[in-house]
Amino acid sequence: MQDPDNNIDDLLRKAAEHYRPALGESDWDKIAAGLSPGIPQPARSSDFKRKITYSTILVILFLFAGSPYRVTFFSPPKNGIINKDNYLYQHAVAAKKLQSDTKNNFADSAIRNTPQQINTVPVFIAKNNEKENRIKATPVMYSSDGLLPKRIEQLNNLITSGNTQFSSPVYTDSVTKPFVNESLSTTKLADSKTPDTFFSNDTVFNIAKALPTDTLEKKLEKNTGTIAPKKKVLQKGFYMGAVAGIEFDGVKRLDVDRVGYKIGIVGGYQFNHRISLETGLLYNKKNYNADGKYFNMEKVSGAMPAGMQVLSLKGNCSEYEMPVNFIYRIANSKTKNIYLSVGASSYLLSKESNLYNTILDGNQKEMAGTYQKSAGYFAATANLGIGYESKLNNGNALRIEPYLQLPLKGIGVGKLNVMSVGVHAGYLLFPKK
Amino acid sequence: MEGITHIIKGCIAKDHKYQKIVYEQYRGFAFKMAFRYIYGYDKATDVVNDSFVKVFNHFDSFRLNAPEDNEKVLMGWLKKIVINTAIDQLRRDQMLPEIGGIPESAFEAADNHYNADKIILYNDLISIVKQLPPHYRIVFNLYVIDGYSHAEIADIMDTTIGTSKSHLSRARVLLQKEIRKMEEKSYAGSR
Repeated sequence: MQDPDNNIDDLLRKAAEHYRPALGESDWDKIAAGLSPGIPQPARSSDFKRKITYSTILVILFLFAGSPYRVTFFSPPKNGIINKDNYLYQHAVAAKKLQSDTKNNFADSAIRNTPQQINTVPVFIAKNNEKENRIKATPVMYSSDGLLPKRIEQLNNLITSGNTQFSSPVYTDSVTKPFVNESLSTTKLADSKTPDTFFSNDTVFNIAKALPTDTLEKKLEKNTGTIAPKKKVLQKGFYMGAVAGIEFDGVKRLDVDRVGYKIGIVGGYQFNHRISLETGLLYNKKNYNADGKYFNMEKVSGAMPAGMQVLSLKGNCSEYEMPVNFIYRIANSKTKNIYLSVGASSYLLSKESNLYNTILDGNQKEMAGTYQKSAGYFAATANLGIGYESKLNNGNALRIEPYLQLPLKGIGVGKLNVMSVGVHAGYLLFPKK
Repeated sequence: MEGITHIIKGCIAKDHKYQKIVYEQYRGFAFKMAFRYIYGYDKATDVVNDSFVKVFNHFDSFRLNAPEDNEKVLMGWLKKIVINTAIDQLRRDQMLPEIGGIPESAFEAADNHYNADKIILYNDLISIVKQLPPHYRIVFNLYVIDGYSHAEIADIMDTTIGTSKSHLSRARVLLQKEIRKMEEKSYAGSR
């Protein structure tokens, strides 16, 4: 008999191999009852989940990229065709008044009877507002459009022939000068002395023609406001905030069965209303799958038997992410904006756990490995994002940003090129004006 | 018997006919493993049944290899699932030491076998292993018989490598003591 003191392990290995437990009756019926129906599955559920996830991300990207952009650029002005605060509008009103003062019925009837292309008017207004702070004006009655043929000419002659009321062209001041309605007579208009500003005849007359004649007087009486310069939506300065989000990670293909997340703080500097530079510190948990061919065995081969191959692995890692992103706001308004974010992230990997599916001599076996040695990776991913910010009443903003992170270098013991797709939301504190 | 690759494909397609073939073919192998970990015969049978249910329900994740390797890979996979299921069962039982002896009927009779003595010896040795406290039993089985490393054991048992080594060492001491007792009994009986 073999001496058990000398070689217990060998003896018990042999025992485990050759011992003979009594096998009872077959329990196949019990087992069959616990099995799922014997119908072949048309598609793997993970494929379906993956498709759903991709579709959802695409829909989110489309929605955020699409609708607010259209609202900002293509919807008509909220106050109707003509902005009442606009200086051109006021001059059009003045033109109407002037026509009324000279009792020129020709002009009014010509205006009323001429078909109008009203929708062209706000285009003129928008262009003049955006491009120039000082809007040019000429004497409002000089017209060459042929609509007011005789009486206008007579009036022009009256002006140019030395009549005291029209001895000089009608000038206006800059757009910031208050426009007082009771002074809106031809004499008072003529008193304004800023010769470098004038309206174009056609513009003023187009606007004048667009106005309903019966409401002109009322509007003129109400019009006592100051025309303020257009406000910039965002100001220059530092800002900061907190963000959190979920993501799917993977090597070449995303692991949609397990959700990763990130949470942290961001801060940035806003150079103007369009461009910002942003950084932050985020805690990031990634869950990923990878085929064995993408796993670099260099660092772990010493811990594995010779000849062992990694078929696949399922892993997760905890890391601190430091992104540096340029943000460009492609659509900007008082209450919302759409931005593009481009940059790179560096990582400090603090923990990594992998479950390897290995094969050795035809035997498949799972092996687990946990690595807690910290390692830094500079600019390991390229970041692309498109986000939507909604301004709050207190000047701060809520943000949501779908993003894509593409690997620039491998991370972890296997130097895996982990990509991520996710969405994060945040609350940002902007500088007070 | 049909080719193992064909049977595996049938199992992947969830065909009960092929599932039954696999069960009948490998239930002895599975029970032999489970019975090393689980003290009671009925509980070991339950562990085997649960393991096969898991295997068949997850057969779509099985990767076909070269035809000559498929059986080995299948057995390796089954072994892993049986071990995990057995350890889960012991956890559910809170790793409490079992009471009551192991009946002789738990082992196959070795009558008329040309090496019947050896088989009886092996059966007795496995009985000694089964009588170890659950923690020691698991570590001894995993390390010595099933070839796991201490790191893997620590991961499975949610403990440290040092604890795993310590359990193994104590298990060996207990086994030596029991084997010596068995030898002494055998020696006294032969006189």
